[in-house]
Order: sequence, then C-alpha cells, then structure tokens
Amino acid sequence: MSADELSSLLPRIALKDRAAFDRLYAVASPKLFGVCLRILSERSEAEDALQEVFVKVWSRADRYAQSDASALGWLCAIARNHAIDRIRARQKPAQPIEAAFDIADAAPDPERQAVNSGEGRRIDRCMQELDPGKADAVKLAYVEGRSYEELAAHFNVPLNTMRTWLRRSLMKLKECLER
Amino acid sequence: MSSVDKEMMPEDGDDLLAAEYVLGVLEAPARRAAEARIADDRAFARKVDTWVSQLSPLDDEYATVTPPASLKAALDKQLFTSSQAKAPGLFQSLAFWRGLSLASLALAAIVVVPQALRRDPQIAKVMPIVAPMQADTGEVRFVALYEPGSDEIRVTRVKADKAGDRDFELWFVDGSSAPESMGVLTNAESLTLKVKPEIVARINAGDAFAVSVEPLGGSPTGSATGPVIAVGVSRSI
Repeated sequence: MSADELSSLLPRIALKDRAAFDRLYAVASPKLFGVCLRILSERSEAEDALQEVFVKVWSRADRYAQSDASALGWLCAIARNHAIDRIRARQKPAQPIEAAFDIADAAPDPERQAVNSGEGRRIDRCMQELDPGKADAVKLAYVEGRSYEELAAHFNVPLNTMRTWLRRSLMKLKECLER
Repeated sequence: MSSVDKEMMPEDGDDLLAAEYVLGVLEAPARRAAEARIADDRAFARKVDTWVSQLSPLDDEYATVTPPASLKAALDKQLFTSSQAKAPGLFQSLAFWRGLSLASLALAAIVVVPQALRRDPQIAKVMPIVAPMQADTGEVRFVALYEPGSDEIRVTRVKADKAGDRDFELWFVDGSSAPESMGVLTNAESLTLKVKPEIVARINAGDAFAVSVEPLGGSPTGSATGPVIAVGVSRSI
C-alpha cells in the first residue's frame, strides 16, 4: 500500500465512489482493525468498532482534504478516536486495572521493536529526551487510549501527578518536535 | 486547578488540550467539549491536526490484523442496502416533488420533463434522469437533470451559497473509474453544462453526482480537493 494511493482514494470516496471505498477497505482495514483490537481488547467489540469506523470514513472522507495528516494517519485517528470513545462509554472494569495492564504489557510486539530500531524518526528522538517512565506513559496513553485515571492507577501515582507528568511531557515533546 | 495547571494554562492551554485530546487521555465529557471546539474553532482544529500528524508515527505500534471477511459484507449492507431501500420512497413521493417545485424547481422537475416528452416521441421512451444532491443533513442543495442521449446536463442550485473566492464543481461518479469533473458551477440558479461524449455514453440511472467546493476555476488536480457539500444518486423519472 503506498501513501499516495491511500491519499488519492479519499477524495474519490468523498464523491461516493464505491470502487475506491472497496480498495481503501482492502488496504487499510488490517491496520485499523489492529488499532481497534489493541484499544478494545475484545475481538467482537473491535469488529463492531471497525465497521463503525468505516461508516465514518465513508461519510467523512471529504474532511480529509482539510487535514495536514497523512491519509493513514488520518484514518488511524478516526479509528483511535472511535475506539477510545467506546472504552470511555464502558462501565468501569470489574477487574483491577493493574491486572489488565499486566496482560497487555506481557507480550511485546516484535514488529514494533523492529520499526523502532529502524531509521531515527523525530518522534523517537524526542521520546528519548523524556524521562524513560514518562515516555512509557505517553506511549501507553496513545497506543492503548488509557485515561489519566487509568494511567495514574497503572503507575501508582496520584491523578494530579499523572496529569502533571503527561502535560509536561507533551510540552517537552512539542518543543522538541518543532525544533 | 492545580498550581501546575495555572503555570501552563495561559499560553499553552489550547495546545495542551489539543494534545490531550489526540493522546486520548481525556474522559468522555472533556472529549465531547474538545470535539465541539474542533467543529467551531478553526485555530483549535488546526492544533489538533498538527498533533495528529506529529504523533502519528506512534501508529507503527499497532499490528495489522486481517478482519473477518463477513465484516465487509455487513458494512456494505449497512451502508448501501439501507440507503437504496430508502431512496425509492423519497423519489416516488409526490410530496417530495411538490416540495421541490415549491423550492423553485418547477423548471427541472415539472416543466422541462413534459416539454421534452412532447418534443420528441422517441425521447419519451427514454426516461430523463434526475439526481437531487443532498447535504449530510438531508437538505437538497442541487438537482441535476439529464435527458439520455443529450450532450447537456442541467443543474439547478436549490440551496447553496458560493463564497466569492471559491467555485462549486460538479462530479460524475459511476464507480468504473475515478470521478469525472462535469464542470464548474457558476452562481446562477440554473445552468446547463456540456457533457463530454465519453461521459454521455456512461450516464445511467443509479450513478452518483456530487458537488465539491474548489478554488476558483475548479479543482487544480482533477480530483475533488475541497469538501463535498452535496451528493445524490440519480434515478429515472
């Protein structure tokens, strides 16, 4: 899948071109399903979410024209937002949040390690400038869509401390990314 | 508000909120509030967009997992079966056409069609094709009318206002290839566009028409670059 192909499909989908939509589904659905699965954990819920994500893509493709993001970045943002909204709408988990994180952390993704050790991307360099614990918190928040409250429980710090950590880290990241 | 909040809020408040939204750490009510601002406040929406771009390399963390094949079938059913089922009701509804004629559409729907039918008995056998193009809200913004065999398409502007530095552009989408521009629409209430012979050969009931907002003179790239403000599937009448 090339970035150019994806970004050329979205304007066609905005015009309700079904052939373009089918093609976009074929190339992007595995990635977006990966997003939904990682955030929601439950397979059947991730399937429901993925279907809703593509309904949004069909109806909102015209908004891509106004975005600076890459086509895949824009699609992942739709999937992340949708999956995050779903977990926020869930009742608080019965199981202690620590346990859920332990399971999630237990299996490092070999693919991601390969990617991260590859070319030195700006985001990686900037993440390295953060304290290691803070970088982990930023990454966990982003990748799993965890709330401040859940992160505070995971890192065993008060909610306000968590908020301060992350806000300071975000501002440091911004300063580094714009350097 | 904690002392840290105060220390960071004045100059960075919006940017922090945008970052927190993109990162995904906000609770549901704060997310809704941020989304309301994205819709209303372009400067804020741009900050969100910048964070989406800057953090998107982290998307590499997500593995790719092929979804079950049944999911695409369910998706197609949801998107395309229900809308097609709804459309005939609308198109066959006399009230709908009366409503259109009240909206100064008498020309397109009532007058032009009978004249065409009277003019040439041959054409009477070929039903004209009409495509009301609607906004997301369901409001009809444009109507295109095409008589099979003709090399012209008539477009009526029902409810849409063109900004001075933008043009509307009409697109034809039959799914067989990329959407084709049918030309730029002026601010006239009703206008006639020449249709290229290769498109004449392709127009059928069931094809879609759409209008996007483009720079003056039309899209510089050949595909729609601006928001699509109206879309409709054509039908014979």
